[in-house]
Amino acid sequence: MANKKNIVAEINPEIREALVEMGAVDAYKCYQCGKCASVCPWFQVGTYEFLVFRFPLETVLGLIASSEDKEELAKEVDKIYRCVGCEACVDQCPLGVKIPDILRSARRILVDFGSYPETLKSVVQKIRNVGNPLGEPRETRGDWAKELNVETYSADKELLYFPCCIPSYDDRISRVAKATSLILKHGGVSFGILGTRESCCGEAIRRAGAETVFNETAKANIQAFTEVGVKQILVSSPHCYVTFSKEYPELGGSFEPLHTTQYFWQLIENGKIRPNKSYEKKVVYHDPCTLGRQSGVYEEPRNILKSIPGLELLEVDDFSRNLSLCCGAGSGALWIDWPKGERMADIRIKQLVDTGAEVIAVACPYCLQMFEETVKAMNIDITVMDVCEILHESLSG
Amino acid sequence: MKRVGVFICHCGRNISGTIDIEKLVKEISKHPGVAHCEDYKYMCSDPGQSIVKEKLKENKLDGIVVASCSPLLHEITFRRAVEEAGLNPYLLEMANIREQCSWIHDDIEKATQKAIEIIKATVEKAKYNDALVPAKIPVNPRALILGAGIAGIQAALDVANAGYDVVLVERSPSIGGHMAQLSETFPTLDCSQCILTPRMVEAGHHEKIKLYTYAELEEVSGSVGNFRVKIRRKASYVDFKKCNGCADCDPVCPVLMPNEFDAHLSQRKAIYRPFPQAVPNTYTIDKKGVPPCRVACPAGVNVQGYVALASQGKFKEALAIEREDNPFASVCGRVCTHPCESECKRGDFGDAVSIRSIKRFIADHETQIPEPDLPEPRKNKIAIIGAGPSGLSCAYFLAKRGYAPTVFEALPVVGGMLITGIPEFRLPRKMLQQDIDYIKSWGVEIKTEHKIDDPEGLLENGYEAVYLSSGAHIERKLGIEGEDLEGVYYGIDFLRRVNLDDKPEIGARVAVVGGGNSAIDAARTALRSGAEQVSIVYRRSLKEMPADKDEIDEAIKEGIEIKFLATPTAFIGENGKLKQMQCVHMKLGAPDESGRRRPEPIMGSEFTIPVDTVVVTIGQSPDIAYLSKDTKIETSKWGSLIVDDLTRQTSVPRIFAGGDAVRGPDTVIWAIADGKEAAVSIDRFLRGVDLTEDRTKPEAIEDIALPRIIKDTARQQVRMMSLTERANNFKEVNLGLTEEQIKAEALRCFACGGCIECGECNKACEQDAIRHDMKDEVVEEEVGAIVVATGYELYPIEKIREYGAGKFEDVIDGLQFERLLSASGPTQGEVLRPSDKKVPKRIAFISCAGSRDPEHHLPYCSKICCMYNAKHALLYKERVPDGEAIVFSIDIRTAGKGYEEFFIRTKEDENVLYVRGKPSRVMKEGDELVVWTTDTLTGRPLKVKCDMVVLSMAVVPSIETFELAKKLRIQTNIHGFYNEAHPKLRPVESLVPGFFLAGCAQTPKDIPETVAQASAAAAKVLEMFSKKEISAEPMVVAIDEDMCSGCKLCVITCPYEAREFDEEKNIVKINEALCMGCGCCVAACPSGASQQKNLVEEQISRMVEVILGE
Repeated sequence: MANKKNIVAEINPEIREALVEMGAVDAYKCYQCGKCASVCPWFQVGTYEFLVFRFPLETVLGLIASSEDKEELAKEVDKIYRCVGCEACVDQCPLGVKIPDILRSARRILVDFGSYPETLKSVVQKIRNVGNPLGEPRETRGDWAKELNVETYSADKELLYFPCCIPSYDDRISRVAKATSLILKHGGVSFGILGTRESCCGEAIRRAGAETVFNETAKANIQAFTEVGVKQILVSSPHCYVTFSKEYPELGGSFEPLHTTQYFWQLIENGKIRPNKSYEKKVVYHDPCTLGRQSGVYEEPRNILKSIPGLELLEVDDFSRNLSLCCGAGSGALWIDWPKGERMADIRIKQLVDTGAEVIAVACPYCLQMFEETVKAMNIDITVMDVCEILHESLSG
Repeated sequence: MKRVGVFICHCGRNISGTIDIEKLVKEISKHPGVAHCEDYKYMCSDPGQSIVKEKLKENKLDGIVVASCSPLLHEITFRRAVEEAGLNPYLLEMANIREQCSWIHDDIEKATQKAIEIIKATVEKAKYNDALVPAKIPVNPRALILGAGIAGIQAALDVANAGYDVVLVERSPSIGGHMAQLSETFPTLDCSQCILTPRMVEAGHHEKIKLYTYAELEEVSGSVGNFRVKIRRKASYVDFKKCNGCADCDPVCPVLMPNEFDAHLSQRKAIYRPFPQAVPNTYTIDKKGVPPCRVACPAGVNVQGYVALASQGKFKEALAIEREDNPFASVCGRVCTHPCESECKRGDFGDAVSIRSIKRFIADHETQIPEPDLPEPRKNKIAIIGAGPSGLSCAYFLAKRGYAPTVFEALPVVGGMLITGIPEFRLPRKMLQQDIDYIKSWGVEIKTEHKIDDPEGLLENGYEAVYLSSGAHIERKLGIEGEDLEGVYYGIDFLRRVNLDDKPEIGARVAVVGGGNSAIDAARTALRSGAEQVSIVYRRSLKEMPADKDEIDEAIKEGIEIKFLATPTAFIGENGKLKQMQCVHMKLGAPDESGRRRPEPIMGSEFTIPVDTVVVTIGQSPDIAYLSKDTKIETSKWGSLIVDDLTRQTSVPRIFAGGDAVRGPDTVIWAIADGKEAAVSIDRFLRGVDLTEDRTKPEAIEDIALPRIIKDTARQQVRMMSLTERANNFKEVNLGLTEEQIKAEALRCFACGGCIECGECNKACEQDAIRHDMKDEVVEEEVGAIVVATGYELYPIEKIREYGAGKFEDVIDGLQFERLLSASGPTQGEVLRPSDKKVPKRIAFISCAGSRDPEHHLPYCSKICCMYNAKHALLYKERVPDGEAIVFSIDIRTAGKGYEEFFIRTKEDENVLYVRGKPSRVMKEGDELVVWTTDTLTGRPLKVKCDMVVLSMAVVPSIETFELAKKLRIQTNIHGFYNEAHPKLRPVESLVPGFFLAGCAQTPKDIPETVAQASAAAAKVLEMFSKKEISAEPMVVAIDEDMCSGCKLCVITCPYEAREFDEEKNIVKINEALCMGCGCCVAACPSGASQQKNLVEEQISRMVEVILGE
């Protein structure tokens, strides 16, 4: 009997207090209705049991990461890192419990103890060392813009364009940054980029629990923004958007971010740009979680697409707007590779393809990268594009 | 100087746990004016009260402060005690050191200090209190009960059975409320109707109960004991004294509307009684207002009327209704531009009702011309110029008023543009003739080939009024080179010649210039007249083309090519004969005044088309050359006649005008409308009645009773003649709809306006009880007490979209399921799902739909759902023994006598399955619904397939409850439920004296609780009536007459209308019986003349000073 593990637990107030201290403040609110578990993307994936509603009670009882058994703990770490931070549960929770915050507090403890996925450790290190998760040299961060003669930001400019790490380095995704710059030029907007002085916004690693590195990186950005006199930041990634609007102010950085879809819709409304080249395709729009549910931006990307002549806009009937299904790349999950058959993007691509669309339009570099990889892997003949890329194609001359 | 005694209560540990009582006594004893200070564990208890009484006498105290709980709880207790000891009760004050101090603080030192300040301040107030004597008010021992559900009925019966008069007011046509809709009731499963209907009958026939159904409280004035109320009895359009409930009217009424009593699961007629056991057992006609289609029709045709009659196959009656407002049924059934369809509410959810097709069908179906019901003839001579639709319409409406007008027509044929401008394949001559014959049947005389040269001259030849409807016949020209070549025609002339068998020569290659209906008509006419190749040249794009969309489509189908964005620049001929048309390509520039983008030529893009014949169809203008040179009729610079918009009167009072002569080329329906309105004006003019009075256009009704689920979004498709059948002839292309299609199409109408006043019920009613001219009536009643029992509604199901509510037919709410279970329901108690009437083999019951969800819906528990879910599941299992009932819930709340036992029974005896978890979605897969949830107990994610979903929607206050709260000034909580005076000790009284509460208007509750509360409210009313008089609140406002400047600010401010202005003295006077002592006027009074008794300015400033330590 000696080697049998005792499964009768005790309430552990220390773990509870630590978790609450780290931000799991909503844990007491939960009444265990379990609605979160069936709105969670894992429910639709259907091959991994992810019982979201257990976390608040486990927090209150102090049972999260309480096991001393290594194997048990490893399983739990895997579980805690399954949350992609899409906030479908927050959106639907009758009591507004922020479960991703509860999980973030658990992750902070795991990161403090060094017990978190190796791939994430390396991402955190790369961000600390070179300011981006890809480990690319800092010096080449602005290279994508060279051929377009994009200027470096200075205080006399209207806008700082902050393209995010992936569009800065990735060949495919950098086309979003290029299209964005060309639209800005087309509309006669004075803007610039930070180039080498720009660092990752830090959103993903914060949600992954790496609070310290997030603080360092964020502060570096805030300092750079402040020094060059930034007023308004145009972002391609909704992840940068939420970080600048909701998290940088906590660190003393108050800059007004605008997502490209918001800004370009303004330009269209004010007559600064006019999509007049016909784009005769059926396009389905995928609401990125961070732009839709988390920032409330649903109309602008759709308005842009609707304003393009010839374009037929489709919707995923039961899963659009706040009910959109996550691509599976949030909260650090972009760098975690789950086994085949446990990927949200596969399910989402199927929903999008089933609308009969020829093009999937997204408005987030994470979604773009996930979907590009997924359609390749699934060998599906469909184009994935950022809304800005489509908009750029519909501007003449 | 007063001798104040202070009595401090520990309230067990409620106060003493946080406040140092010893210190309190010590400090207060030192305060000037305090003659005695003492504490006790429970001051409100009998020994506590005795202490107060004894010390009061012993120390000759003339001011008392009790420092304890809120005055709401025990002020009355202590006032009574001091009164027994011989002191005026208004010399007592309460210092609230519990709710406002001990309960909300935890720092003992600070709380004690605060308590000291509160008590000292109260002592200061007590020092300046006057002994007040309340006035006595006589009580009118009649009760008003608002709402006649089970709560209102019970309260009414209790009061009436005690021998007092009751006025019972119910908003709907029958009493009974929601309980009448229920099948069985938990936990005993008594049949709801069986226990309720005897009560309803008793209330309906009680000699002490005066019942007003279909009535609403309009206004209440006065105060407790003596209220005056105004009650609006809505017009039911049925004399309830004559109606015997025989139901003969029901089958003949053609208007189908959603049945509220069946929770929209079935339809009822516009004349209805909610259910067969209704009290009173009489019918009511539902008239909602003027539907949008009728408002949109320029001629104001009763569209919904003929559509409803057509849905029942009553085509003759339908045609009669149509002809009330428009004699051209056959014509408009074919060529009307149907503005009615553009406004049709169906169009908001798919295709509009195909109104024109319905009109055409009834006109085609009824070819017999009915005998006209001719009125008393009138002798006035009236001339009408032009026998087009406008002139004939005017003649018809004058004839219907008894006049015998003469219509003068220059051409040898009758019909104007209808005959000369519209080709036969769109409007067959025979069908036009049917309308003309109908108009003639009214005695209209038409003189053809009779051109009038001087209309004003007619007035000197015995005509008393003239209507000018001479149309628009001058063709607009392009103004380009070669227009005089042989082979160039103009549209109207071209069509007229074809239509009047004076066929022009038409070459092999024909081009038509223009984009209106005439251009399409000309092109299709050319095609049927031997042309081999026909094209249309239009300067804008398809989007801007004014011609009817269907006609454009047909033209294209027939092989006509439309060249968009092009316009001719010259016609080129050889030997005077047209050979080629030179055109230029156009592009669209900025929008012009019509809102359409202006076409601009593209320089250097000229091209030529070989043609033999061109028809230029770019519009016409009115021909008014026949007016004499010195005419007094005003004309516009475009050569049209100017008339008054409303009356159609020209600048010459006896001359009226309309149609294209006024409007330029316009639609048939506007021409008809002009004729109709002019006829009204001419009649008024000749009778010496004001032309404009009461002639405003009605507003369209907006509050439309939509069906629960909107189906049949597509309209019936009309049959078209095949292309081969059409070739080289002028047979009508549109074959219309079949009788079956017409009935189905007519049933798509939402019946927005309710009753259509077709008069079918009048014909059927042997009692002669129908009164279509009935008006609302306001009655006044005087009562002493008011019980508010206005009940609840369910939170609208459409608010929970993720459960498919409002989208899937088989997702219903609890009340709807009650109707499915009820023997009097739409399925006679058989459980059949709404979509396909199949027996559902598995039903999901979802709890807390809207309740306990503060983030999206409502935070509170609706209390009754757990039990009725159990009841629903059990009854379903009884009816469908092989079915499966699954209840999705997060908690089961069964507090009540026999409730838990009932719940256990559903599980043990009926094997109802309970899943613990809140579902997130209801999806549809084929025929089945799928509930997405997690069973939180096993931790298993679940997708549960089922045939039907019943949502236990949250209970919310009824709309009436919301509205009355404002009228009665009863406080509500943030959700709109009425607040009781005290949650524990005064649960059936409102804070406003004289108003009592019963039922779900106060908070969600089940039937036993509702009945108990209703009886309690009745007991409170009876308590009041048992006294001849009641005391008025003496702490009202007094006016210092010397200070009042008569500014009347307080009169406007007072919410209780307790003030009058004394004109003689120029001061304001208080009606103490109405004053509620709210103090609004005290704050408003600029001079300080308004002062509340025992809360005068001096008291307030002393209290503030003490708190500030001054």
